[in-house]
Amino acid sequence: MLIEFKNETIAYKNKVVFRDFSLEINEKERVALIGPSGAGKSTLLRAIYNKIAEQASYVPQDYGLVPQISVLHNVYMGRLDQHSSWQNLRTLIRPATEIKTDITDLLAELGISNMLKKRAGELSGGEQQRVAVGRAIYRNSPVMIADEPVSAVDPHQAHSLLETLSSHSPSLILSLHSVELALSHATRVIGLRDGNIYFDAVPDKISSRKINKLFSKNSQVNTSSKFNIK
Amino acid sequence: MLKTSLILLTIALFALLAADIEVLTLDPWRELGRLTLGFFTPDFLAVWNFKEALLNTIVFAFCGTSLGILLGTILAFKFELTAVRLFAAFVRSIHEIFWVLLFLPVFGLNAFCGVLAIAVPYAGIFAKVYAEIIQESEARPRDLVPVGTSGVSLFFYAVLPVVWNDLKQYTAYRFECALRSSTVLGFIGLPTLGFHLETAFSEGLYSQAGALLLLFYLLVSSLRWWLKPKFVVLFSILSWSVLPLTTQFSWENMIRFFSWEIVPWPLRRDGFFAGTGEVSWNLNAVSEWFVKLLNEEIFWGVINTLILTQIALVGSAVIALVLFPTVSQHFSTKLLRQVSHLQLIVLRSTPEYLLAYIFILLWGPSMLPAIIAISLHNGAILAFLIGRHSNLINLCHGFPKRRLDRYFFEILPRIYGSFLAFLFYRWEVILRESAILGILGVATLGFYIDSGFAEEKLDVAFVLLLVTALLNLTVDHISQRTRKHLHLSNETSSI
Repeated sequence: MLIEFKNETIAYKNKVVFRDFSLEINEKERVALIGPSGAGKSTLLRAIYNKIAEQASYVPQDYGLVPQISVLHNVYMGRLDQHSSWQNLRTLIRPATEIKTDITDLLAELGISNMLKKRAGELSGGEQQRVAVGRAIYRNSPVMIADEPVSAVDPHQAHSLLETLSSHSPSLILSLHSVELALSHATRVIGLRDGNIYFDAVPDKISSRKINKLFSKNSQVNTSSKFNIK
Repeated sequence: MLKTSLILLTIALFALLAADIEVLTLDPWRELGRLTLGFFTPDFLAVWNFKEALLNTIVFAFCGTSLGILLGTILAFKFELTAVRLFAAFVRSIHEIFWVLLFLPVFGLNAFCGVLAIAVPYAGIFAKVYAEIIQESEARPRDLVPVGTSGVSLFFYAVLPVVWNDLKQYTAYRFECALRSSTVLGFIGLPTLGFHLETAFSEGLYSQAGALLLLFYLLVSSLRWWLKPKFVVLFSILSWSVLPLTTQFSWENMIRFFSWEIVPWPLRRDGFFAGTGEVSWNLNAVSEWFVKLLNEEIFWGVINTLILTQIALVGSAVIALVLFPTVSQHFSTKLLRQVSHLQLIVLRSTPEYLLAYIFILLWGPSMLPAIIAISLHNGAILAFLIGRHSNLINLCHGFPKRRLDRYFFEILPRIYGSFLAFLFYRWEVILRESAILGILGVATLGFYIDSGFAEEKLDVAFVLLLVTALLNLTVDHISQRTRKHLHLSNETSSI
């Protein structure tokens, strides 16, 4: 098993979001979290990342790039732990050809090939998001955790970006704004609402009624789900 | 906030009753006339004679600041340790001039002594500000760095690039301060511009003084054109290479300083008269000595320093509140703003010590010149800051047409919080200045410290210096508590 929560409490900024929370995720699963904003998707992803930080890459919702340094260096930061401090300093001043080629290829795959030397802060939101994804892929870890990794690119590009993301990591855990993307890319979809798992199933088993209810503004769903903990 | 302001005002009024403010000179106006005439007829031919002093001023500033940056950076990395924080607070609470007096017996009056006197307090300031800048910077990139990344890599990838701009701006501002410090150190004998300013003023050569002052303003205002980050390292190396490093430093001097010269006299008396140079532990005599010192010097020094500080604090506030509309777009035309701006820059660039020196020349050594000098300098800085702040305010349509209404109902309420925050940050600085102006004859702590050094009573001077530092730390602490209590913003620390 890759990740296991057993009756745990998960808090964000000293506020409890998940109480008595249980969840298991296995290797090679492609899990998508969906749900209305404020459901606790980011908090859960962060908690998962904290559990397995050594073997995971993470794309946060706000990218967390260093705007002042180049795209190359931002991507390279994914592997800071795999080189000596000396090599890292050298790369900061003059990157080795090998590193340059690797990152150039990766950027081409992400559709931002000519941005290698640009400073991350100069890029558009969508481009920054690709750099953040690139940094996570470059990290080359068995698990990829990504918080809305395609929110800033257009729908068509979102598909190919998700393809790229999946092709590099055997295990994938991500949150998505678009239900359609979740259903088409994941092997398991978890519906979250107000700190509770509302459903957890393979995409085929999820009816549109369930999804409508998950996103409905009706507070009844809210309360009923709170008391219906499995 | 109103309550705090009224308390400060009341204290200042009572202090004013107790303060010694009088004009001691017979004909202050005639001297002022000569001074003004001198400033308008600057003797530029004399400037050539001061080229060495000009170079020294720059070299001392560069060496002092670069050493300060180096030491401060090291301290900043360990700033979470209480010992480091206390050490930094202690060294920055003592004025550069006091450091010169303190280093004098160990190193002699030379270039190295001057550089060290700038570097040591600046190290404390850099440590604090650098640590604060890093602490308040964007933390997300730091959180995301892979687990197991070395501290060095983390720093160079995820911290330094993020804070670089802020560090650069603050350090550049400190270079400007260092030029002031370096100039002022000339007044106590180091070969910088201040040395010649002192001579020119004391001999009544006001045209020469005017030329020197203009030279100084030119130096400070030209900084932004030639002080580029890429040249700083080069300039620093050049400065160190031309610095005449002929110190009389010896370990014997150092040991003698700590184990003999600053030891209270009653402990040394027997050894001194017996010629053995040994310290005898006569604790009764020491406590008597200390009580006498407390009654005769410490008490009055502290009282006068506080009186001057509190009056000058309110003085600065009043000047700032009166002057800031002249640089605010809500009150003044563009032309007036530009003229006022220049005026504020001149007041801001002139070191308080120099202003006080000039006013004391005119009115004699009472508290009056000190109050006016400190209030003008700090008031100008505050006016500049809140004026800039007020320009960020967008008034909606239908704001009061009369300027007085606009001032009291629209602008003042909006800027008052940050104004108080800035003011409280200056409190510690004003106290430092109040203490140091004692050297010019006002009876604050600096007066007693200076007498101690002059009479070679290093033990007395040392105790008084510790008292000054302690007073400074206390005021800094109260200022922090008050800011916290009033929920004033924390972003103003780098001024």
